[in-house]
Amino acid sequence: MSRFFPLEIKCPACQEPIKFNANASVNADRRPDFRDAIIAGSFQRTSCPKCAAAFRLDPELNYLDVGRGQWIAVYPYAKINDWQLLEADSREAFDLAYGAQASEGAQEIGRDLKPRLVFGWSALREKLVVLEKGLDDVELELLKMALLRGMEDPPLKVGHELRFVDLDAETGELVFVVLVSKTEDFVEELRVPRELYDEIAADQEGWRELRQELQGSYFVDMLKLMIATPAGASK
Amino acid sequence: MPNEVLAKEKIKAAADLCAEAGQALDRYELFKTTRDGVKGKVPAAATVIDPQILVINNDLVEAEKKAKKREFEPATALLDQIAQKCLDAAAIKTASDKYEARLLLVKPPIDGLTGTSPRNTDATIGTDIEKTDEALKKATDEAAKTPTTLAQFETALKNLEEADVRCKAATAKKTMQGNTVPSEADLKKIMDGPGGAKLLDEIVAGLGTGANREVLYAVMKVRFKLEMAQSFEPDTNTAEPGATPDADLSVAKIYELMTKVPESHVKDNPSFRRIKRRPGTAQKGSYYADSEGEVVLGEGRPDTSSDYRLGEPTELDAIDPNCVCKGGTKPKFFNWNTLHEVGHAVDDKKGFMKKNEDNADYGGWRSHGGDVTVVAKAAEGKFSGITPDMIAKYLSEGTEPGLITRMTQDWTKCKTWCDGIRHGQDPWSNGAASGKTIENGGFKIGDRIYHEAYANDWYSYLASARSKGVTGYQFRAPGEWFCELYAAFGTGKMNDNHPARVWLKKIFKVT
Repeated sequence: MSRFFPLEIKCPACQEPIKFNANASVNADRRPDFRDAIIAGSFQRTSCPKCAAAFRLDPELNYLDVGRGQWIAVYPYAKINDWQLLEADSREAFDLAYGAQASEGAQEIGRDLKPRLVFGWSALREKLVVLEKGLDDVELELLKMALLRGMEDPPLKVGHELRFVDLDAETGELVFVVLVSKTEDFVEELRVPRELYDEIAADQEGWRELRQELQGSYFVDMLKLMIATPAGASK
Repeated sequence: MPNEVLAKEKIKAAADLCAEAGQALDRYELFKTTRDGVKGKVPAAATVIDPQILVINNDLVEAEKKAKKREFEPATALLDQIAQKCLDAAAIKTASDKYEARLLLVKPPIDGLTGTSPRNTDATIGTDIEKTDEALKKATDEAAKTPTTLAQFETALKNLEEADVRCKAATAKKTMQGNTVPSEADLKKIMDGPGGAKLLDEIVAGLGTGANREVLYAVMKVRFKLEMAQSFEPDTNTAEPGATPDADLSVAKIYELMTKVPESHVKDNPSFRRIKRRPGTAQKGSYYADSEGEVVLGEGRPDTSSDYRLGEPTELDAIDPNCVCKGGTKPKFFNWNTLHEVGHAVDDKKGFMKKNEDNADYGGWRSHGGDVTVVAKAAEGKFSGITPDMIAKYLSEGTEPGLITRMTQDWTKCKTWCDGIRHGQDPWSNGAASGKTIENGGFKIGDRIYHEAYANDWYSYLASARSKGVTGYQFRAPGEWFCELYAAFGTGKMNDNHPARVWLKKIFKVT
């Protein structure tokens, strides 16, 4: 249904122990309100009953939306450097649930699911919004790469991330925000003409190599191509 | 008698001859003037154009011969050709001079790249030296070809420039491998040279992922116009011990990534001029949820890679030995939950639990929705002096009966039961209470257990089903009952004698 587990966490401001229902899985078909809350940024957010400081529990869950064809393994941003290991784990989980050993019904469902791996709430939200706006997440990551390569003073800073948040219905512009990864704090907004996205999507040859590096992977995120490979980890 | 007619004819002929001779003389004078002009254009003797000058001189002699034979038109045409040959020879000489001058400048640094012999065995830049020497050899071989042409010197000069850039690149590489940042000017020279971008990419690729960051910053500044030094270093001032680490970005990998981005979508692309940037929180749009506060790590929560606990004694009372989950490696928490959620999708798709409602083989689940009177009615007569209405009122509105009833009747016990079966209390995980009758402070009413699975959503199931349980959570609702068994089967943890295997095998289509 969407599973929660009781957890005692400490208020980041006053260290008061707080009982919290930590989410371990979201079933968006059965609980569309959870999906809405993720997009609204309110899911797993609370405030300390003692000092009123607001905070949010980092995600560690599996997200399923059969209706929209999404299955997402979600981990805290703090684990991003282990993406190769966690991608392997996610593949194992997905194969177990939807692969050759799964029930026929599950295999049928799995054929229409796009498995993904993300780190942090903003990355999860991005995957939900990208699909909602009819965009392709691989092309979107390529667009981000073009922005980093082509912009003067590009929004690339350690500890920051560039996330797609909206498609402006009036102008057609793709709206991105630069966030502080650990806190989700807003840094700046970028509005990018839709034409650039369309040009990239139409250019099969020029982007072939980078596109291939993202396709077939669960971790469809530009950061994947930037994170240092840990010793002993295979690509 | 003089023949006047004949004399007149002869005089006329003599006059014509005089006129003709005069014209020939004029044309020859004109030829001479032109020829002298052409002669003035003949380049000074130089080895590189000796063959061309020989041809020019022979052509001049030929033109003279033609002129003397009064073949003025072919002679003049030949002079035109000679003039062009002079220009060509001069151009060759100029190109040759330019090449020689460049060679004087380019060769010494190439020679000085290494003292190792053979040169291509230099430990750091052997391969680069080999390529540089190849380019230089191509240049000198091309320049040495005879007869000389303008094109060959143009090619030779191009080869020489390539050798020069390769030499600079090899020098820069040596510098970079020594973790010394090369000068921006040197890097620009490489970048602006033929194949410069590719050369820089090769150098950086050769440095590997452990390349010095400062060195890479310097190259990226020239190669991609990316100023990274200021923005890319981790902020050590604010980093606290034990704090969440940032993504460990590799400058070398970013460099590699940037080389793969097609130029067509960055250079002079008009779309880039239309990108709008709005820094600062004041610009935050409505699409962006206010972050408000920190994101905290759930220390102590079940880690996704940790084991999922099955058959917990606190959750399940007296499990049938044929239903105890298999031992050995426990399923991973994340895998179990993934299977659990797909179980819901499968159940929804097949309408499995709906079809099997109130069937003892499937937990005997009954859905009561928001109708608490069914629950209250089930408890009728279990608490002295407490009516179903009182129970229903308490369950639906939280209203307790009057003081006298509360003090004289069995209300406290009833209230404990009512509170214990609310969804916030996780009654499905309460093994102890689930094993006792309502009269003895437990949840069992006859052969059933009633509880609120979700807010205002009530269910009941056969108490005996718990002895075949794999987790307490399984007994929250029919869907959860199905999903936990589905996950137990999917992870291979289900007991080989568990009765649910019969129908799960059909779902999984296994024998």
